[in-house]
Amino acid sequence: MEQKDFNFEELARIIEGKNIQHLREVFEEHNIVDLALMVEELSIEEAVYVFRVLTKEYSGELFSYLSLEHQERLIEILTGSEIKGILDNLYTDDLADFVEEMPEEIVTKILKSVSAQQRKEINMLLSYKENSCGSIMTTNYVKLDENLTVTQAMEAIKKQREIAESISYCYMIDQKNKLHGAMSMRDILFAPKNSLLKDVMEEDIIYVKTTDDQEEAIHEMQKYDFSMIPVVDESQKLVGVITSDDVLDVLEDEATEDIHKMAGINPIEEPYLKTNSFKIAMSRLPWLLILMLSATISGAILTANEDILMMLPALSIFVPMLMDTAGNAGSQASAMVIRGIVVDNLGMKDFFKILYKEFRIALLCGVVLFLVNMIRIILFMSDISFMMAFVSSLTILIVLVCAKLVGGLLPILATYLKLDPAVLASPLINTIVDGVSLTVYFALVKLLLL
Amino acid sequence: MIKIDEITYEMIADVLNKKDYKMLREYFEEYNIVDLAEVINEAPIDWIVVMMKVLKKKSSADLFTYLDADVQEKLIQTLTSPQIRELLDNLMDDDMVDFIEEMPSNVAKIVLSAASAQTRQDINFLLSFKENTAGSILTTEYVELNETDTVMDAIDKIKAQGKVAETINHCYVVSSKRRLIGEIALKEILFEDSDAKIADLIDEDVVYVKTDDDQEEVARIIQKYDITVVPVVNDDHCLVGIITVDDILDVMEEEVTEDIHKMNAVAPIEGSYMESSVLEIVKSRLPWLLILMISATFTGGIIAGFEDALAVSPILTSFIPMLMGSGGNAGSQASTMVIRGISVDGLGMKDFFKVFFKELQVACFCGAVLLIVNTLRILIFTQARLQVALIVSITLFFTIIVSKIVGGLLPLLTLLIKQDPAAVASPVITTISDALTLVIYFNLAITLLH
Repeated sequence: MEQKDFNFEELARIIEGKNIQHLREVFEEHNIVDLALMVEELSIEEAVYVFRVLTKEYSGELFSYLSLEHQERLIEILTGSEIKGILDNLYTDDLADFVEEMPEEIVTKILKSVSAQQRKEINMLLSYKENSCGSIMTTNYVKLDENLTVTQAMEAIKKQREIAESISYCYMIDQKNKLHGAMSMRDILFAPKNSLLKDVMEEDIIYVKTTDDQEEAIHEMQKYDFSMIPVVDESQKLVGVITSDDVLDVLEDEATEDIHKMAGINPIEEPYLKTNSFKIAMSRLPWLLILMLSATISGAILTANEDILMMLPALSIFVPMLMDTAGNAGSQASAMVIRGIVVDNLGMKDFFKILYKEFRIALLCGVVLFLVNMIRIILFMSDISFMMAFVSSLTILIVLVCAKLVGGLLPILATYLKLDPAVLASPLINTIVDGVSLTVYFALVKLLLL
Repeated sequence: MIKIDEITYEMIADVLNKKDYKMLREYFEEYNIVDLAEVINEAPIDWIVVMMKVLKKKSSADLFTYLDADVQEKLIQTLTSPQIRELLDNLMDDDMVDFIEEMPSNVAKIVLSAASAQTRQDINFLLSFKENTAGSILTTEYVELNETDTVMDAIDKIKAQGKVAETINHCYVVSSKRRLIGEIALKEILFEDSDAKIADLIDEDVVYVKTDDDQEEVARIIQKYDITVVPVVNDDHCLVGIITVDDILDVMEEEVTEDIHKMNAVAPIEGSYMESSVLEIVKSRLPWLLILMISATFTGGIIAGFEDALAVSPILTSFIPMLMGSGGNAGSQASTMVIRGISVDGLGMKDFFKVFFKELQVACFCGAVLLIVNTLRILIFTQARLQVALIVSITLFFTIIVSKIVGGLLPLLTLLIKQDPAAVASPVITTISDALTLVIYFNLAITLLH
């Protein structure tokens, strides 16, 4: 855990005392992320004061760790040249992320304050589609001409190191900016001083394209254990790199999105407590409505069998159990398969493997549930006939097999049809298996009890 | 992702048949080790044994790291002790521990008895940490500098230790008693005067974790501070290892999988879907299926208790699936968002009332929309009377409110009793909301219809 030797009260006291020297020392000594959290607690006047007295190198970094609302309020108050001072020291990808979230008048103010070069880079980053590799890459990295010697390369790295997010990997290009190779800092350090980069560099490089989905980048970085991955455009020109810190954020967002979709919630970006109730309601309503209407099918099956229910009212006792068990069994299978699709690349090729696997799992689970249900009805529910116990138990067994197969295979079919498997998950599967379970139940009743 | 030309099984088979080991070694220079391992996984075991013999030591160790667990196991059983020892000497120690943990105990024994005394000691040290702690995922291969070093000493040390270290981009500086006193990035060292003192250049405000911190805590810290490496210290503040971001990616993915499984009533299971045996999967799914089957009987019992009411108005039965389904969905939507909020944004008991009011607002809004849509569609598409339509819709409204509040607050309450919120998620909430729904439904029906 991080040290906690500096607190908000102290910071507030230093600001109140207008002790500029001391304030600067604080920022040199303590972690900027912790300080940013404290700055967010300050009044806006105090925060502006902090930004005015801090040196450039710290104000930029501090700014990048503030929440969007704080950033917005600060930009409103600060002057053009002050903004330029802060933004000069931001990495372009952070800057583009931030510009993307701001309202229009703020964006105009920002674009006016940055240098022409930065403006060009921001506009390039903003032009990539959301969730593409282009949209999360950074343009601050080390690129080296492949014809340099190792010694010359070290000089070039020295020049580029201040603006680069990381120097752990450097990328080699030809005159046309085409990506030809990569080298880790370690390999450069150990390479003979006079050799040319193109003779010692790694040529079998893993890279992604600007238009690839960001998940593709995560997948490659995870597979190859990379901390950085280069991004090229259609003509193989190197345009940026994606670093692991961006990937962590993407990974978390994607996970949240998948989890939400599985529960029938449309993706929502802000944290729960910061999203207003109306927005949350709108993200949940569509599926609630769809599922309310689709549940009518199960209702219709019940209505169609009203006569049987009137004749044998005890049958209705088992209806909730059958429906719930089917739903749970289906979502267990779909959750595992959907996660398998994301993590282990399950796909159509595995269709029959999954079918066979889920079939065996369902049989085993089904037999156990069959027995437990039989025994507990015989022991504890004396008013239920043996035949009725048998019918309800047999239904569970059959329903379990159907539910697990639907739950396991529907996500795979979804990927095949290029639909999002998570969206098709539990809620929809529930509706299907509910209908199946009631149909099976009444069919067996008619066959065995009447 | 595109690769220039892919390595294929045929290419490997070809060089082995021709015994062209020079070409094989060239393949290992040229192609990415992860891709090579993927292809070689399919090869017969005696081929792999030959490859391990003829490849460079470093290449064969790398190859071994990326092979599937079952192939590794077979290899260990085939290789001689001296071969195993040589292999172990060239493995990264965290990779080695990961692999030993995967192996059955008889194979682990073979490995440990073949290992050199030093290696055995390292393995045992790493294996001694509790599962899921920072200690269990750390690596001891990092660059360690002394506070009295000069820049020249440091560069020499980096060159000496750098060959085996996981990363050289961050070096850690310790006191004579091995206490962690600071860190320094490679790019800060490389271009300094060779007799400058390291002690003057280091960043003393270093973020670190302790060996017994939970790995999720480590993931959170790495994410919060946007760092790629975090040092790990023991209780005496002595540096024992580092954790790199690639290990954290795996941790995050495992945690998300576990959460998704738990939310869908699947007990945590190690290993991927395809690798787990049918029996293992059954074991992870069966407990909740049984519990929920039994608990759904209470719901059945409620229906049985109101048999008379149902006999008078059989049409009431047809709405039961819709009411139960909607309640379950509404509840799991709320619980999913709150559970994700707990793990991502640190929601906790302190937010109890905020969550309560938020869910209440969301539920009132969703409930009202569902109430209107439901009343209209019953009146337009069915023969049911207005009275019945109102009973069903009012029940629906209350169901949504109850389910959302239970779904939102139950995860917070489980934190209070130190239980895992994901484990009590949707299935339990479904059962609670089912029961409450039916009680409201029948009581409303009795009051309004008689």
